[in-house]
Amino acid sequence: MARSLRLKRNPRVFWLRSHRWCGALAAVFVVLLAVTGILINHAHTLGWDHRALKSKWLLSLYGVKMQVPADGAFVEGAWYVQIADHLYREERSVGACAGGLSGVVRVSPEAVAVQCVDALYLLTPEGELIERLDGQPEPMLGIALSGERLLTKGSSSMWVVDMDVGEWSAVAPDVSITWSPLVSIPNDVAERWRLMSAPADLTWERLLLDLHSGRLFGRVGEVVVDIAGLLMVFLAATGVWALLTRPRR
Amino acid sequence: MKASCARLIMWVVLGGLLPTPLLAEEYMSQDAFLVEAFTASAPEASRLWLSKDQKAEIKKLLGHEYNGLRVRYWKRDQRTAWILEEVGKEQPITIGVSVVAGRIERVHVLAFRESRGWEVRHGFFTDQFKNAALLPSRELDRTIDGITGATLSVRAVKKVARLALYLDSLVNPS
Repeated sequence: MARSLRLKRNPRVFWLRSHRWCGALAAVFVVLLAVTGILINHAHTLGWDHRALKSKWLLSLYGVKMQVPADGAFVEGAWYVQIADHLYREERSVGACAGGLSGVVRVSPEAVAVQCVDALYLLTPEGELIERLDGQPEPMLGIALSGERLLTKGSSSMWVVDMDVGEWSAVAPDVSITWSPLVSIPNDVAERWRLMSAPADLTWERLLLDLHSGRLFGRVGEVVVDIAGLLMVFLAATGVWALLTRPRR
Repeated sequence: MKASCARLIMWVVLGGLLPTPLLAEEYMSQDAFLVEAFTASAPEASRLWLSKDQKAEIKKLLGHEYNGLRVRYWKRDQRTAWILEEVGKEQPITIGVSVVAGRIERVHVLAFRESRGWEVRHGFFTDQFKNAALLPSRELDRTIDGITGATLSVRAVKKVARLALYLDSLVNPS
């Protein structure tokens, strides 16, 4: 009772106490917002605007599950896999590969043919792209080398590919053809592609922005940051008020 | 009867006013472009293998590495046709260019895969390239007017035009 009377007679005490408590409450948020704000200001200098997140835990906050290829082709000492609609030769991206990897064959000492469902790639054995052959007559599900002929197969047809002019000619189906197989990738090998499947546009800068705004924790996080903002406004107002109304000695 | 006719007309008109969603699409097939370029049947495709120096030149032209060691083209007499791709903002644009005696005869956007910038496929833009030649500085010998809202697509088409002229000079040295 006495205390409440004291506060009523001296509102200055009330507001100063409120200022102190709000300050303590807001302290964590002030530090968080200040640190993330400074880092966001310098994200470009630090290179964080294009450095992608690789941590499984951080990516899980965005609902991203990293993909690991289950199978691929191992030809001439290199793995060929398809991840997220992209063809990789070892860790190097070759190009778009929608629909899946169908097979890989070495066609000559100078060239390796990689058949994606939607396109045929010709690479050097070292992995340099020679050409991406468009214009195949249908999605291709297999590739094989028979003598000197490069064969591909669709859902119901078989084709011989003239790699020099990029033309496909239908041939009679041949059940004796051994199509290039895809094999299971050992887990330790598959791990190296796990990090590569992380989306390139989820950067450290993005993480900082979402942390700064509270969006990283959904609607609740946004509301908490809003409240922290209001607390800081209150602190500023009461602080200025206390300064202006401080008793003169 | 009159009321139902009026309702029918109303729905037809409203249907026509509905905005067509813009989807990535093919405007002209590669075969159709080649037939147009060569008037009759297209010659067999040839391959131009790029040397290290040529790739370096192309890198200056495009502002990035050319992805590939060889380029497919069609040639009859002094006329060549090229079907090349260049990324606009995020997706590649497929562009056909025919060149006669070192000058562009026609430019056609064959396929466009982005949601914006598709205005470059129209004749009012591509006609600007007719008769364009390549200067020693590897720039076009004329100014190409851009299109508001399609800056990156315009840039891509200009790059492909310059690339086609350069490649033509490699297979038609005269």
